[in-house]
Amino acid sequence: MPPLHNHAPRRGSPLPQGNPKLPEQINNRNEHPLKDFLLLAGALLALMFVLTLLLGWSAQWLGPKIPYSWESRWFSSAPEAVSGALQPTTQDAHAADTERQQALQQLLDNLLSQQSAPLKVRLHWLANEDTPNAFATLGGHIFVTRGLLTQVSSENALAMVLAHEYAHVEQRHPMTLALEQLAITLLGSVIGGEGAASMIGQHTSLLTLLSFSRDMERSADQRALEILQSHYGHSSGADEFFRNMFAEHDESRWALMFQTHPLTSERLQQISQSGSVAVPVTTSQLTPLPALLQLNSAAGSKDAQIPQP
Amino acid sequence: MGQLIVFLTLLALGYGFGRLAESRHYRSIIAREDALRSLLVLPDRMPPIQFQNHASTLVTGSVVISVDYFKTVAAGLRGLFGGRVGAYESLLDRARREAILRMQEEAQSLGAEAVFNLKFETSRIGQNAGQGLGSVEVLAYGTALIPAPVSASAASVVAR
Repeated sequence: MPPLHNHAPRRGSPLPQGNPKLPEQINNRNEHPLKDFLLLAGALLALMFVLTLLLGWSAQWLGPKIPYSWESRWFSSAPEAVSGALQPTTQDAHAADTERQQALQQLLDNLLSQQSAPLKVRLHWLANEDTPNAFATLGGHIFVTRGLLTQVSSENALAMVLAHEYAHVEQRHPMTLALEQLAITLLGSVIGGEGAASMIGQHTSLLTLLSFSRDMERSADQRALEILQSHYGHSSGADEFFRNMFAEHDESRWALMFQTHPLTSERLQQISQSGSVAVPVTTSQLTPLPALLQLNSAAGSKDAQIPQP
Repeated sequence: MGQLIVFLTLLALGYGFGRLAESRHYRSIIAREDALRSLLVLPDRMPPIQFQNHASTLVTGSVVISVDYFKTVAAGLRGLFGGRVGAYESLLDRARREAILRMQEEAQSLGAEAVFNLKFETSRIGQNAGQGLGSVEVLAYGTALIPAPVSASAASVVAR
């Protein structure tokens, strides 16, 4: 066959009889596209999985190593979005809310007085939030909602919740989570150019975060029980809040609302196993709430109806 | 979860329809290339001596192609790992061959015997190209050589 890409004018050489039939594999390999795709997607998923695990582990290692004083300096003001919930309607209500916040802070400080070198945490009272909830955020901020106080009838139950949130701060869980999220966001933006890849990344990382958090909740529960034990000499009443929640909502709904918390019945079981409930407890052993913090109608009277196991 | 379902649906649709269109198109390309094999397409700038009395005109064949979702994702994966982007290669191969075929079909309709000085041009179309869903135009053009009508020149020679 004469050379086809000859730019010199043809001088006497005969024209080809027809256009050549070129082999199909030169410009297009004609391979099955799924084979290539599945191989690469599998490799990417495996890579993401390994990197997410590695980053999770390094966050868990690094989180507690960052000095707490740095964390409280970086995040000295409470997050705007949350503290905005504290919007008193009148001057009187504002004063009452400030007092409640101080009372809560006082309760936590008393609770921690037996601990060696307790961390300095700041309590925030969310007066307008009726969902029973409490949570800890970066910088040692603990938030307690009005709804929570309507659910507890003894100081012990409230102390359990406060100690639980304090344990999160003490074990540096918010910092660990923040580092994890930072690392995963970084990983996402490196791979992120491709919409598909980043979406896959999002889903795998969310699953890992969820499982880490459950471990954290368990360990915070454990630590909270220790704090209660050393302060009151027993840890009875600790299960009250969870038991109340269990009575009001059925397990599945409760679980849906707080998916990151271990299922309530699992937590109740853990609290029972810690030995506190095995010893018969009378209501007299439980400390009543300070008057200022009594928002539960049942808790007001002397013979409060405290659910017994 | 919803996002994932949308993603997988788009992927499956892209794969299914893309695959169907590609195999159909290749069958058509091969059949038409066979049919037009005798209409010569050459890259030479100067036609040989036997074409000196032919009329010449520009013929073009233009194709605009767009990638499907599956190909975008497959190419995105290749963008991470490197290597031959097979998903786009087959697409561009089809575009070039289709462009030549359209040019040949135009030349055939003009009664041309051959097309010389074949050239390709390509350009990117579409603002969404940044999101990996661009379109590409492939243009093939050349000089069609059309035999001069026998009536005018040859007949006048005979008459003399």
